[in-house]
Amino acid sequence: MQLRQFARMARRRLAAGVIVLLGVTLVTFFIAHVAPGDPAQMMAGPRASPELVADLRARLGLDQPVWVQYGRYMQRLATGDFGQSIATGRPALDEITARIPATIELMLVAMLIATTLGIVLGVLTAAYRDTWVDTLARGTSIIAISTPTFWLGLLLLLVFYDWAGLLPGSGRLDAGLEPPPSVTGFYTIDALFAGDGLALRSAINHLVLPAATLALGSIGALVRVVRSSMLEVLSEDYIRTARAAGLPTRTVLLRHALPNALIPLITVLALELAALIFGSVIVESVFSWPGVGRFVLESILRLDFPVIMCFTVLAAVAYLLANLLADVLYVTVDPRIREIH
Amino acid sequence: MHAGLATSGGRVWATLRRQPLGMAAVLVLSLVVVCALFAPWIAPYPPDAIDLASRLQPPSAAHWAGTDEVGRDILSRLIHGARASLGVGIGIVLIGSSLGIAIGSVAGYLGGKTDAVIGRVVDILLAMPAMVIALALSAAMGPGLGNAMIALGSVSVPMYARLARGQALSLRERDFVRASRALGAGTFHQLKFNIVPNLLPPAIVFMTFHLGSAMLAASALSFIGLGAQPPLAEWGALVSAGRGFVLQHWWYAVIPGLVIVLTAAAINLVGDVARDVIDTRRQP
Repeated sequence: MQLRQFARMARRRLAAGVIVLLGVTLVTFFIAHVAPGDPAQMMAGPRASPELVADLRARLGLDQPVWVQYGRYMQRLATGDFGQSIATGRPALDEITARIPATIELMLVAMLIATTLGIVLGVLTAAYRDTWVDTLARGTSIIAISTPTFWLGLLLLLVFYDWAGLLPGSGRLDAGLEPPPSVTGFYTIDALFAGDGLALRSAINHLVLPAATLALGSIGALVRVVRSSMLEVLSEDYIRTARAAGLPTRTVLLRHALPNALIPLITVLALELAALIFGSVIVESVFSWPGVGRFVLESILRLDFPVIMCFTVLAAVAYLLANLLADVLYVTVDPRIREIH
Repeated sequence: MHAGLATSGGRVWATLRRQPLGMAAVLVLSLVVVCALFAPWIAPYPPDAIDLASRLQPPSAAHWAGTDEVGRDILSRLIHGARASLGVGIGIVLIGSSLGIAIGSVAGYLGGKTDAVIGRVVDILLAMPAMVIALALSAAMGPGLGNAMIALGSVSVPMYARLARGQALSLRERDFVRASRALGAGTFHQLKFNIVPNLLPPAIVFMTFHLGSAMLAASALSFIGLGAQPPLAEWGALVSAGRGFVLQHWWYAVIPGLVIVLTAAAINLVGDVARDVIDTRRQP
């Protein structure tokens, strides 16, 4: 594809992204307005005089028309000012960014598990279509879709931590271990850089249960996509040619069919990010994982709205960017799409 | 119309006979519905009957699913919980589908500027992470099963709007709709008698799958404390209450979770059956 065409496509997607971003701010602004309690009253305290509250309202701009308030809200967002966390008094954005590496590490491992299992099961079900393998995998994916994350987490905790004693049940490292010097904020990679084998093992052990729990929700969706995409590719002429030429089934499946069948996975992985973000709130609280999700849940329970709104905006932006990236990647790897644009 | 109903009844039966798993799912789901409808008559104990003498009992002949920390019978709470859990799921689906189908079918049928505006807004809303928005919305509205239901219902409106709009766009070009328009049928008449009834079949398939995920989402909000509040027996809230005891008294959290999995799986399988029955293009 010509560079110019590509640039035009990217520009158009970016423009659409900006519009969605504006939509996100409208929605979060609306939610912040639904939130109970008068921010001025909250800041002034319960025993403040009405004059003081009125004064604060004026200073916060709460007496202005809604569209003026929205303008100010946008101004603050643009400068990364989400207000202070009511609980800690520190900027909400700082509180969240400090915990992002722990959450991203968890999400990446979960995504790795989900993608690997999704591809393996998807290829198997397509290769053994309408046999017991297919039925079994379909049953598994229905159960995976139907299992609440919070319950699976408790179950894994019960079996692997309490009964078998195989894996740790909370936190990121064994008690008594010092976190490796922070480079990336990912304990596994930082431990590797520091050459700290003990911390590396402990970090990996702590990741297994929460990441597996978080992965479950996405496996069902990924299996379905890989299966249907494989079935579609397997009916193409070039696959028939490859088979007719006498190539072994394994080569046909893995070398010729799989790479093309994986293209739709890009889009689905980006869409699954939404499930992972919501899932992280639950999984981190079940496994006491010191990341964004657990902090947000604590903030929800103590009505710390600046943190909740900051999280919502960041999550929406991350989701938006992931989908933009997926669109661009999709066009890059699939020449057929370029013809359309 | 009556002939159509009769054949679709026959098709349901034929599809179920070919799918034993689908049949089992229908049975499980019927059981849950019966529990929800007749809970006070089926449950062996009142759901809030405290009996401190038999706290945290393991499953036994007297208490099939054990008892909780104040001696309430967990099975009875599960049976009553079917009302809250299934009810909130149905509520979410009804909020999303009624608003979404109304908005989408009007946009699709009218076309033009109305459709351009609604279509764009729906696209923008669909590009947002729905569960995260629902989380923030229900946090802002305050804890409570009703609020969780409104939050989860409203974030599902755009999905139904997109579905209905697509169907309405193609339906309005069909001959019977054109003929009706030529005979002077107004917009409301068209929507009520020609558009909405004909886009319902695919919408119903979607609603079935949505019921499963909506129930799970509501139970997740209850688990983290935003949905059902004590002492209301709701399945997610039961797992949440059992969470603190899971290492010593596993049944308390495990059995309610199992009920959620079974019900959600049954709903998803029934959704598969509904799709096979309604989507005639897939029939051999």
